[in-house]
Amino acid sequence: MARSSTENMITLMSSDGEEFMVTEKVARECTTIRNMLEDDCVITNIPLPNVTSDILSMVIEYCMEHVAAAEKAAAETAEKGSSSAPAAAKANKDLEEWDKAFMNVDVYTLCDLILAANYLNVSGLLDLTIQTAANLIKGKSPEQIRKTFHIQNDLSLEEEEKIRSQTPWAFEKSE
Amino acid sequence: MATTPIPIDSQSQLPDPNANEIDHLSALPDALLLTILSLLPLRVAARTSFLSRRFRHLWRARPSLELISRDLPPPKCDNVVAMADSALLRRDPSHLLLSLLLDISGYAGFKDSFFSSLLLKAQSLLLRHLTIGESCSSWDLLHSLHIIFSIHSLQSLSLPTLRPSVSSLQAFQFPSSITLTCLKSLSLSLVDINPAEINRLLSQLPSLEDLHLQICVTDPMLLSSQSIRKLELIVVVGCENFDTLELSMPLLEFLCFETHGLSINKSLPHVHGAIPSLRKAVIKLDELHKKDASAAAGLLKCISQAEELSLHLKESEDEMVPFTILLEPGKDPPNFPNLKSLDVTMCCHKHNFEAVVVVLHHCPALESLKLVHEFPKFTYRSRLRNWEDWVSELPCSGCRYVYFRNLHLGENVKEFEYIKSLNNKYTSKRQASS
Repeated sequence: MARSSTENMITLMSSDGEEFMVTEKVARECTTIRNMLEDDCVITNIPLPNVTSDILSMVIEYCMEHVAAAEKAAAETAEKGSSSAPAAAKANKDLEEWDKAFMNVDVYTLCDLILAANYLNVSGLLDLTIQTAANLIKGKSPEQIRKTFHIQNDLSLEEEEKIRSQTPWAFEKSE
Repeated sequence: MATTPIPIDSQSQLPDPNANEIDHLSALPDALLLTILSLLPLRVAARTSFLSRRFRHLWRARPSLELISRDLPPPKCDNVVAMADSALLRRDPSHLLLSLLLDISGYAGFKDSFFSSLLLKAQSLLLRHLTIGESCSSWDLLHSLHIIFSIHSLQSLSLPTLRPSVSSLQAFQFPSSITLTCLKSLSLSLVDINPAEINRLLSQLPSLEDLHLQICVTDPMLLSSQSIRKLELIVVVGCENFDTLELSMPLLEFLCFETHGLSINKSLPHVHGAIPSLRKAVIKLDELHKKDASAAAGLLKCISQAEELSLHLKESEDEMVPFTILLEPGKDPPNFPNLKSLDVTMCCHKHNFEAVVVVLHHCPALESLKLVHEFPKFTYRSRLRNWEDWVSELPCSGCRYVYFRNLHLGENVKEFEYIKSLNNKYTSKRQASS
């Protein structure tokens, strides 16, 4: 990504001590950081003790992609007076495709991304990861869900029986 | 033959035989897991109670709840009751409810108090958004209206069509006590209502900003509110007496007005209004007759201060010859001093096209114009008559449009001439510029 010399750079530091230099615009995609910058505008070095370097680098990748897409759309609008509907629709679709590819991660990374997106308050990324997690639950039997997320079944047989008798409406006719 | 003791170091690795097998999902805080569960249909979310103790009761705390009987397995009535019981009635009082959708039908199998008990529970959970679907029986609905209209915490409410009960000879009335002081958004559909009842309701909703109202009216009516900013009004003209509609809404910014049921003897009502803040209007009128021209012109005058205007107008096939539906014959259109964007969809026969050109002369600030030609649907009824009169005046078949941006009609005479010339060179120019 091209960096203009006038843009402020911010250093984000992950829990394992790795430093990431990003433009202020990218950092501002994280509402948590935006609030810090607005409270104290001279801050340039932000430690993020809750986010590991591999997850932080993914969050930054997401923010950079979305900032670039927004800038591209804004430039096109400025150039042509107003953006043409088909071009905007295509750009949206491209970004959706990018998001979809970005979500091609294992469930551990997914859960860590949910936590990080929540902590840094990146609403787009939070919506994306939460929806991805919901999609992984949909259409699966409890056993398949446990397998997907490596959930240990600690329910006793009696408890399982009780749940089944209390929520008959939740199960398909065949179950 | 002694059993081999398990080495201590391998035992210490037991809980973690493979570093990847850690359950990161269960480690997420409740609030985030609930957000995930909220994206799932209620039945799917309830099935997660089978996963583990962590998940057993979690789904019950979802901030939003949809109770829908449609896709439940049989026996329907029992299952609806069981679902409502575990999802709502036995909900922990500390888990406040943000939104509730009730779309349940019990095939007359519910106890009389069942429906009310759900609403009373929702009230105790400080419900903010309530939607009641069309599946709910109108008996249930009418008998619990007094509860619905006293849920103080409600911010939005959407109800299915309210009809007076068949057994009662009285006209429909809202509950005498209405305490929805926080209500911002309301969606109602009313049949056979005394207009005074609607105004009594509106006068008791001091925070209402957004009203979606579908009404079948028989009498002249006045709609008045000091707080409404957005009004979607769908009027079904029920009788010949309904001839005036007055709007008194000083803060109204967006108006969407639609009529249905016009005919030879049911006319478009005359709309008057005090709506000085109006910025955007969307008007959809169907089945217009020549006799409606003066009411249609009055409506345009009423909304002439808008910046954005979208008109979708359609003639009735009962009329024998094309006529202009945009203007009152022999009269000037109103001035549209603020109008920046005009979007017209209608049958662009010669008379209507000329009327558009006349209107453009009264829009000094216009920046964009979209004109869509809608080919009339000639039904069997009209084909029996002399419908070639229509066809001979039509520009071309099919749906075509022109779209102009960055217009400066006031200064640029050339552009104006160009639009006017479209009428003559219709087909080719239209295609070129669309």
